[in-house]
Amino acid sequence: MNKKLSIIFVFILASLFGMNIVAKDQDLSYSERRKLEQMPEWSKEGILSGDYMEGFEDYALDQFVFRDSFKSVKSYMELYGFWKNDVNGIYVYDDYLIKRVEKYNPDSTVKFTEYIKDMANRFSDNSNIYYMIIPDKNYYVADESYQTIDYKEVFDTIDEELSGFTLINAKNLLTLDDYYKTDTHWRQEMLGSLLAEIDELMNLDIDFDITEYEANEYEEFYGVYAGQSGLGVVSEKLIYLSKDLMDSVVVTNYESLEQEHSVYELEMLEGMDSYDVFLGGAAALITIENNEEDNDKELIIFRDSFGSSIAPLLIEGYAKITLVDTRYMSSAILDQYIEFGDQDVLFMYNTEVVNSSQMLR
Amino acid sequence: MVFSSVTFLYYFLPLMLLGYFITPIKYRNLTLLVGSLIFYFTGEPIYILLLVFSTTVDYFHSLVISRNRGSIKAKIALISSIAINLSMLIFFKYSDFIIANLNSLAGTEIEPLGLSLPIGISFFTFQTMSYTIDVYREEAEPQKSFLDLGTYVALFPQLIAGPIIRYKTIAKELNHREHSFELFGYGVQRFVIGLAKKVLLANTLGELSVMMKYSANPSVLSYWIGAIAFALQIYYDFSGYSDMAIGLGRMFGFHFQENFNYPYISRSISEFWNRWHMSLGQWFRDYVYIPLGGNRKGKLRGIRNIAVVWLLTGFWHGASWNFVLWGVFLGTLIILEKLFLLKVLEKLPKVTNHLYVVFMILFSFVLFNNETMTGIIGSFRGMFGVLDIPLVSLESVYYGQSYLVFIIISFVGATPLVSNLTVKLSKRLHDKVVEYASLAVIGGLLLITTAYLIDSSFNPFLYFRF
Repeated sequence: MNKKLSIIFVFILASLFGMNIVAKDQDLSYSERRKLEQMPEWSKEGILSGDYMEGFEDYALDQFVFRDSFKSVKSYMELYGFWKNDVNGIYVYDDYLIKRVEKYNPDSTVKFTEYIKDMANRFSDNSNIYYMIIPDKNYYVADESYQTIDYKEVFDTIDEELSGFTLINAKNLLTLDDYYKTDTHWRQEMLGSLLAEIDELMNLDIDFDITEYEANEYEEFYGVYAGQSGLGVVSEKLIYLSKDLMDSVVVTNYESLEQEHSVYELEMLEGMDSYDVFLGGAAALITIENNEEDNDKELIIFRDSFGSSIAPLLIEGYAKITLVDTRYMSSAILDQYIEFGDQDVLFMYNTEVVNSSQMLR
Repeated sequence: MVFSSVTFLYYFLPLMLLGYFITPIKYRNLTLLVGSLIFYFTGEPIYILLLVFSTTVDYFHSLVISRNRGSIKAKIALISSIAINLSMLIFFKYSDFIIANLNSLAGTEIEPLGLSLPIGISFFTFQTMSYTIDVYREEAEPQKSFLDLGTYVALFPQLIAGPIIRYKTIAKELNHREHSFELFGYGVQRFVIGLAKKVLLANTLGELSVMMKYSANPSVLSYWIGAIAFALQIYYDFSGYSDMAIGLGRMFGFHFQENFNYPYISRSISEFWNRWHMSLGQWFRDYVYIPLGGNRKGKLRGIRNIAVVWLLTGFWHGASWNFVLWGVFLGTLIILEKLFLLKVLEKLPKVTNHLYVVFMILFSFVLFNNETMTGIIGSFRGMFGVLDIPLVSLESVYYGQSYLVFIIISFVGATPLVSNLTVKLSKRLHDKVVEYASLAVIGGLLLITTAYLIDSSFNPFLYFRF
């Protein structure tokens, strides 16, 4: 037996050694959505300080052959072998992968409301200010599971502090089913009732009807938790809703002015994050100009990534929509790009941003 | 470099094994030495010189001792060797501790030196000292080959985290080793099990312990979970490392002494210390306790000797008063046991003995795990419900439940139950079944452990203070 054991051991060591040496280094991990460590550079200082060895271990880990498979082995062992409740903070509820928020920061909620109020004050008194807080998926299962965030406290604090603005009560109109199973985001095709509410509260007068849109399907969507969890999840359908109107709007992304943009950047579907199909993904400043609109109403949306998928459904209501993400640009330079006048203003953020509001610059 | 890393497992070790087994036998010590120096160099590119220095010092001192037996020169050489090694250890490990205490006692304002501790210095200085002392005592022949002595000192399986190998244990094997699949296969078993203990159990328990320590919602339960998790983490980390060392030693033909023998099943602290980090206990016994007279010079002297050994044992673990306190705590219990407590324990039911040991060790590790008095007092207050915290919190219940299987496995694994069961089953079942089961288990553990390393965010090296 010891002979067979010795052979197996040496075989495993030798083959993984050989494969690691031979395998080409990868630049990116699609499943983890990040760049992978590369071989550190040789330098006398690096070696003498120990940095090189640390870098080498990081490199060896990131470039290990069958990395994704090994991660899966760990995830399955954790959840089903050792019966842990979650893996890397991600737990399974029905078929949904949900990532628990690590730590609750009640101070952050207060700072968030102060940030919103300061921003709102920059607009004129005639401006209509709206706010919408989108619950992260944990909210919908909070009664039945251990959570860190006290959602009631968060929502109560916000509603009290922002009572001067109009609330669009997303949490009352959404359920867990309106979100992707393997991603943080909501599903655009499920936003019908929310849009109806917005139509009414924001006086859009568009008589929102989701069935008027064409549902385009992408069948191979793997959300952010698919890779992070390491669990073998089935792909989901990502649906983006289109109307003829969308072909004639002018989309400008201030980080890439020389490029032409559209409401749906279809080449993103096959990229690392298919959700980036909505307005091309994360961006500091985007405008959507609708020349077919008779009115000259303007909307400024201060948003996070949830904004990318709801904004296309608001195009009909405005001549111009500006989307601002102050996680990627400082609010101090905003007046170079926006006129703080009497536009409609919508603040829409999800609870994770509220809980880490230091992200908002 | 640490054993529980892919750099070691899948880069260093395959090359080391290959290099060793293709080298002709008479050059194998050289291969081991070079490999071990590379192993150490990757972690200590500059302090590797200390390793070389310590080896050189003891090489020459031992030759002087053996050539001047019976004369005062031999004694001077012995004292010189000990003094040099201890000075090196004290300088690199304790200088800032000494400076800090001097500053607070004498009001001086000496700047701390800020030296980083060379990895494994407590192990290799103790090892080289034991070599010289054993040569002096004529319990070992001096090693004439500097390279062979170097191989003994730098031997990578035990270099950075023990066990502390006495020269006389492997003197013969340094010169001549047998190799066989039996030996190698046994080594593989010990190594893989040790690796699994470290990566699957110790790291996970450590994660839990840290989570409880920094919990945003502390409760009495979270303090206890944290304390239990830490006590188990330290056991599995340390004994896992020792298993890996012993396993690797076997692969290269060396028989190292055992370092752990199910310490948590002890019925007294005296027994615990004969089962935990045995090589350190034996070192202090042979080189401090017995030379001081042991227990052969009267009760009072015996107590003093135990106290000295335990002060030093505590101190050896780290340059901080909480380690000394830990040593004093355990030493006091051992003295009390020697005086009367053992007799009391013998009359009590076994269960009481076990509970006594488990709780005392648990508390001792609370001392071990908190560097400041505030931390220590805070932890005990938390555990005994004196702080203004609830008995349980949602968080502690959630994580206690989440890690429950790990904790149960750790409890069971800390007893000989699994080992005994395996032996019983092996006798009952068909040979082939046993064989394939063992292959599956060992192969599976190796791959699962690799998976855990690849997806790890928590893989601490606990011996940075040694």
